[in-house]
Amino acid sequence: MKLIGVILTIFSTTSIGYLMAMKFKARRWILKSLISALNLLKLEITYSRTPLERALKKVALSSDKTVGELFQRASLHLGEQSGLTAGEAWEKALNEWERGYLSKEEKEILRAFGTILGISDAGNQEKNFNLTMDLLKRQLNLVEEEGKKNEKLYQNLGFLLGLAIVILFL
Amino acid sequence: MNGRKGIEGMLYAFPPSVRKILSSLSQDVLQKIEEVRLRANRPLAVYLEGSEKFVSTSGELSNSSSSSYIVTVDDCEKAFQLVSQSSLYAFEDEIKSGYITLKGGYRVGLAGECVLENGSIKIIKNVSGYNYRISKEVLGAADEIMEYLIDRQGNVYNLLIISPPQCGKTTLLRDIARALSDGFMGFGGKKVCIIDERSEIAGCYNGVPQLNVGIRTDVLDRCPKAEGMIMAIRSMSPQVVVTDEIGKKEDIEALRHVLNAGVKIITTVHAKDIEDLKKRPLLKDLVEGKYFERYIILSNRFGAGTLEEILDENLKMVFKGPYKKGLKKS
Repeated sequence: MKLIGVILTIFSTTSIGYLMAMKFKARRWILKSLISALNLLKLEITYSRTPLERALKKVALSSDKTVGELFQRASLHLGEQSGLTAGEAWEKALNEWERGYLSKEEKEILRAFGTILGISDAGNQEKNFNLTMDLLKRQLNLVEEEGKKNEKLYQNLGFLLGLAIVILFL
Repeated sequence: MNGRKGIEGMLYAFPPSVRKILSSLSQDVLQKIEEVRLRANRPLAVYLEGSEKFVSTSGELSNSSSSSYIVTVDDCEKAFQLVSQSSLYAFEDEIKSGYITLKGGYRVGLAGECVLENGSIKIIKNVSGYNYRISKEVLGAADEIMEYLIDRQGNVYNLLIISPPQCGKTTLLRDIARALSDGFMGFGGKKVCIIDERSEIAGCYNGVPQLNVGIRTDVLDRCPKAEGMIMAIRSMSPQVVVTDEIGKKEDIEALRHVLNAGVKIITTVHAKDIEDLKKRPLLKDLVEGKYFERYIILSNRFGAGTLEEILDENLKMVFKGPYKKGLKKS
């Protein structure tokens, strides 16, 4: 009986630790996918000169599912033809999509990106893309550094906490 | 693609305030509108049946501008994003040439501040004047004259349409292309290639013709005429090449190239009549060299699209007008 209790306690605290560590991984994954989706959109815009609605849809189809949803929503809002500009459609999509995937700063970067989306020639659009991707990459580096430190920490912490509880209550 | 499209198909491209006003107009009026004019800080105007009307906020038409809706600068900014589908970069070239073609073949003319780079227009910004035009597609406009444009063996004649501006030249050209491409009683249909430098003939949107130009028709959209004619022959093996408004030296050279390749050509020129045409050296050569086998002369005597006469290569009359479909000869 005691043994089962010990195993259960250690198992659950360890899983919590792993879950906390997973969060870092998920954020890293989202940022990476965002950057590659933006890169794709940049090509659609500067090279193929695809109109935004279609370009967003294309990117949505060939991106990671979670990130793709953001682009899909933006494309839909733009296609509704209810008089939304690209910036407004992007912001609306961003607000609907964001469910704690990103930090406040990252969200702000994406919002700022939207305000310039589609309103200038290809050359200036490219600059907007490059700037946004650079900023996101910097965020990704931060998350990676943090992750390196914290992931191991959380994983170990979970196990040790379980062990501590077991020793205390035994 | 029905016979004639109303303005409904492009309502989405108007700024919300103007869209609201336009949608409150009656169906009957909407069908008749030919042009809608947006000018910053000036009254909203529409053109229908050849006359200008101002539109009030509640959707009433009047001849005086006193009670009409005043278009705001904000409206104009919105309109720019909507017309360019928030994808300015995709329409740079179109904006440079002063208009954008919308889905459905509608065209919007733009006036604003031109930004120059190396002496040529780079982009138009702060656009404050919009001309929303409903393309006139008259299916069957050419039906009655097709018999004059092919010989007994079913060969197409090289044709030049001579017409002053605003006389239905492009409308007729489009319908001739459609008829030749689709075929009709006793005529099997030919491979047609349209060189559409200003997106007027086929009204292409994303490269796809929005107006009915026939089932065997390929369109080189926004392509310079001279280059396009040669390109078409090289790549698309057309039997008939259709293009609008020839006149420049390189156009004529390309035209000779087309004829030497044994491909038929159908084109138009801005002129009042054949005498007017002969005053221009380049075109005079073409007439005297009997490059064209048929000439159609248009006027607007009974409204746009009045057929004045059809001549053969020796300038002998084969059809005498004036004639307009639905109207009796006077």
